[in-house]
Amino acid sequence: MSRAETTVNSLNLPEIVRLVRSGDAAGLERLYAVFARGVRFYLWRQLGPQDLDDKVHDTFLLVVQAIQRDELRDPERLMGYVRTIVRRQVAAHIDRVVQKRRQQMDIEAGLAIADDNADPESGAIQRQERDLMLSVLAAMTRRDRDILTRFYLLGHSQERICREMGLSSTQFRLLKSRAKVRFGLAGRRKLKRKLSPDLVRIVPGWSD
Amino acid sequence: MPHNSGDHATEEALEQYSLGALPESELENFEEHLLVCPSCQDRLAEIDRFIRAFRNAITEIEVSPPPSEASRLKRLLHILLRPAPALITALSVLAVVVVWRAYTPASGHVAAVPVLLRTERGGSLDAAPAGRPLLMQMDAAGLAESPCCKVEIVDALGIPLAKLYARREGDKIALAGGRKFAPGSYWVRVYDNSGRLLREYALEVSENAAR
Repeated sequence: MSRAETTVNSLNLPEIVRLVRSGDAAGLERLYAVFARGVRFYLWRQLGPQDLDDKVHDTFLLVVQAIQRDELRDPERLMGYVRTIVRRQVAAHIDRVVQKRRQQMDIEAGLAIADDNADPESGAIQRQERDLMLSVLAAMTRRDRDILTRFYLLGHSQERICREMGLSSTQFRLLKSRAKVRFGLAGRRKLKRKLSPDLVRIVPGWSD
Repeated sequence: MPHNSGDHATEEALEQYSLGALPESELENFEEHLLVCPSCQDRLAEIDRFIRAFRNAITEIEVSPPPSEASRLKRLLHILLRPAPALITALSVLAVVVVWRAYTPASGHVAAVPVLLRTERGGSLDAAPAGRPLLMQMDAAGLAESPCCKVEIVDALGIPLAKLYARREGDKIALAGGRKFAPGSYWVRVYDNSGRLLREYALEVSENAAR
């Protein structure tokens, strides 16, 4: 059984809720396991890495307090409740950022814009990924690139693209999956080149 | 969950979610599953990575200038020098046309660049090319359905530059026609018809983006 299946199937939500309600540390631990990965991933994806631990922790406390106050009527719906809280947290955070930016704009003309970028390392990774993708796209026909552009950039539906470009849904899916495989292979090749033992041997003193 | 095969989300559902195009009715089940499924989280992160790389790369390709007339001529001469007697005359005529075009001033036509603005944080802020018409679309996933709304474009100091009506196209909000921007940072604000701020998008315009 895979790690994913273990996690999904072994979550006994009513049991977790019962334990949390009674203040049992094991219940809190099991609930936090969900937060440490799932909620963290969700918040990171929506809001980025800044203060991520604090946001996860705040959300965890809100959910625990709600459970202990008996606000969760149906324990089976725990994840639905968690989702609602997380979405509210995301919306509130975005609202705060917008308000703060507006107030600062009013007070201090010429204020620098906050940098939403990830850390420099992530920026470098993204540039590498872009370069890999450029190599993948360079090997494609203009038409194939156009099809992917319509889907991934312009947000056209699969049905519309297939209709307008004269494609079957199988051809469309194949084109997408080939592009993903090539992107993955290009990434692995690049990694392999970086780790190549041939490159290591040319460093003086390291040869046999 | 209709989007799942077995326990996990399908590739299509993950892609739709990553693109912000998963229907609202399916969002709840999908996200509840996502919160507890590391496997789907990993797959979604992969798809996010692929789409982000695609968008970064395709924008570069779209904004790359066409090959210079000189390099076109070089390519043509290379073809002409190959033994192909039957085509020599036709290619010579073509060469004359290319040379003529090389010395004719450009018509001034600049291709528009599609730009999709998203509110997603954490990724790098991609720059749109300055001086080229931008066909602007805003990701409206999660916003209530409404046929049209108002869009305000402000500069880095919050000074309004344009107030426009936009139309809703599925999960996007689209501005009609292309708009050119000088290099700089801009904010694109979307309001509903009663004037309530719904979302704000960052727009970075750079001369370097139009390589």
